[in-house]
Amino acid sequence: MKVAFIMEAMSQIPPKITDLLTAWQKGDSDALPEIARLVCDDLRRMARRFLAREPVKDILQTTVLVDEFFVTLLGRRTVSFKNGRHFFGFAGQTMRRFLIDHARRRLRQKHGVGEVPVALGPEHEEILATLPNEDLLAVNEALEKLEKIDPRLAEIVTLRFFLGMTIAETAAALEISPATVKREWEFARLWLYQELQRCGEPSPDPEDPACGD
Amino acid sequence: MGSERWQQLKDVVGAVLEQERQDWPTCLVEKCGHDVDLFLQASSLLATSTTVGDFIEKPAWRIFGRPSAVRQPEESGTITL
Repeated sequence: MKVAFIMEAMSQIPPKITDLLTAWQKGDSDALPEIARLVCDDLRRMARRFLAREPVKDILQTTVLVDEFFVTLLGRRTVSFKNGRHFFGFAGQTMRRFLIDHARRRLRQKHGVGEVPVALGPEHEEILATLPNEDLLAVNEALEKLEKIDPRLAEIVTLRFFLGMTIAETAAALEISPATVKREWEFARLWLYQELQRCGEPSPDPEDPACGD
Repeated sequence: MGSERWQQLKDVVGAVLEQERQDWPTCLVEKCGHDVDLFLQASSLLATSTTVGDFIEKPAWRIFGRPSAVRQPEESGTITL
């Protein structure tokens, strides 16, 4: 019997979200994309089930991984959702806060403020040097402005950009037509892009936006 | 910008984007009529379409690194019992 076989089989089992979140909270940057991928994949599966017109109640009760993500991150034990749209809105906002929080941490580390950076190997340093944390924060600032003007557009951007949902999945989650999502998504992309251009280079300090209202 | 004006802008830009690029100017003029402000706002937004590329098309978390499909064990190797 070969242990390597067992180890390989075990490595196919995704790590628990709580373990990954704990690692992330301790400064393991590598945990973040994996957490996001696992949770987003799960949410996208749920959206596809919405597309197949499965009952909302059945879908929301069967996703342990997503539930674990919310409970660990937000400390919420009971969350009740009115409908699918409410749920996906909550999920999108949670993932958005999670990623933005991470980007801010990274930026603080880059500027030598806040937590002590974890020891990184050369390949990680190379990745860190190319990460556009400021860009993500700038997009988030522009999205906050868009939210005030057109909440539905901002919702579409949150699902598409922060959860990685397709046009069809977003349409299913928001209970609107794919054609509407496509049209609104294109408009939102142009508007956000123009807003970023108008504001110029974003400020490295997220508390001090370079471009006010 | 008021909500009615915003909706007008969305409608115009949405309608133009559905056309072939060579038909954009005609469609834009047609949709805006004599509303110069609307024309300028819509043109300005549409102008960004040449440089917008794949802006925010990839999920945000992808910029933090490439996720591995599964976590590999700390040490690998074959051990025969």
